[in-house]
Amino acid sequence: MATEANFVVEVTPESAQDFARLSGDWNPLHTDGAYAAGTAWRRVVLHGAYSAGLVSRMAGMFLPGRDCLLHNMRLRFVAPVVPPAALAVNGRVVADNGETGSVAVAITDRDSGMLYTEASYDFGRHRHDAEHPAATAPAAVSDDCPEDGWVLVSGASGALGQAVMRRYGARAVALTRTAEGYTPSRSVTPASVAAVVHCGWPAPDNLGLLRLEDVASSVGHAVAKPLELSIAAARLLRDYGREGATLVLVGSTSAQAGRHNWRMPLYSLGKSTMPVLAEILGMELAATRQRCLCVVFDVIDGGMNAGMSPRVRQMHADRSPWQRLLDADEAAAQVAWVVDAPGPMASGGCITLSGGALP
Amino acid sequence: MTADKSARVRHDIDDMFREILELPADHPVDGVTVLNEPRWDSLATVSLIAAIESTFAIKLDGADYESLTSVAATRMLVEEKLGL
Repeated sequence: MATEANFVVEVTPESAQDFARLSGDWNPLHTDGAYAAGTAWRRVVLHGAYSAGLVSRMAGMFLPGRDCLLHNMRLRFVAPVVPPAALAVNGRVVADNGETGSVAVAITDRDSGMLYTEASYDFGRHRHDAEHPAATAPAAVSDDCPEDGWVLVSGASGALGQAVMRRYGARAVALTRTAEGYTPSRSVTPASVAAVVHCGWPAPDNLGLLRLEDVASSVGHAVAKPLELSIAAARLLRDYGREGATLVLVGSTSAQAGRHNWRMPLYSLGKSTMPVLAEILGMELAATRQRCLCVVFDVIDGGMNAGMSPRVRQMHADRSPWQRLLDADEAAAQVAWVVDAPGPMASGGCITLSGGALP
Repeated sequence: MTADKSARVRHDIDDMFREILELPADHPVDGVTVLNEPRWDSLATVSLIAAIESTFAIKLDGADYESLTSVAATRMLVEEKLGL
């Protein structure tokens, strides 16, 4: 059994509504925005007990996982969670004798590192008399699938991901990271998904390949893991996608020759796999009558590019015949255009939407 | 003092562009970019690098070259190099 595990959950005000439906706790601080506006937090606060569910997930899915028999759970709410927020859930085994054990859990803000909840639990192990695979997220039943299908979005907290979520509104479902890949933040059924838009990607590096201290770790983080997650996104489409559903991979002009003097080498290397991956997945997903397309963008305003200096911003604007950077909502509109491309032959390809920018 | 120096640098850069791009002496260069000025080709970029290095006694490296995309970006690059 692993001794550590972690996953990230993105919560929205709707998460508090979902929890209220499950628990019956409709306290207005958690469910009524107008009421919450009159409190110190100004917005709805997530139920503290929501954390208990995350700790349960840590126990039943990871530490110890399938064989878990949860004995008890202790929680200390250090700070309120005011959605939207990305919660990083980190578990660490502090004792395990093979029969019983204990785990410490910290739930923090993924972006700021602020501690929300400290937790711990003791577990035993139940026995099962047949071979059975490890615990995996179920294809849970959902009865409110929109007519046009769900659009699953990875990297939903990034600039492009947020814009895609806005674009698709009620049809959009954020994907959350798990140890194995991604899981939808709400239940979806097989054949209910119209598209998976894979925006998730680690922040770019700026370190030369010959200056890396730990090559294996850096390549794993910036190239292998993103590739693995792209394949996980394709599997989600295969398992939950409708006929004709589309996987959209997001490439970057940073992976094109002559670009940026290769100043973000690992990012460029990772993104360079996307066009070929689209070809391969285009072929493989055709078996389930689904599609894969790669869309390559130039520098998108905001998100990972929010911190660029005025000079670099000017430089990128100068490279574009339109004299400006691409807006995230424009990029999301182009993603939607790619998703709506008609017919099965609109697959296996890569389209560069840089507005004609110079390399 | 810094403002004066900054103004002089900008004046010199503007003249540099006019000379290299063979523009009239009073031609405004504020909006000139590599994309909207047909005379700005690779030879002009090389000439620009040489002129900047000799005029301001600074050294540009490969990463700096990519900032030579407009008069505005070039001004910002040189000012940054000169600590203005």
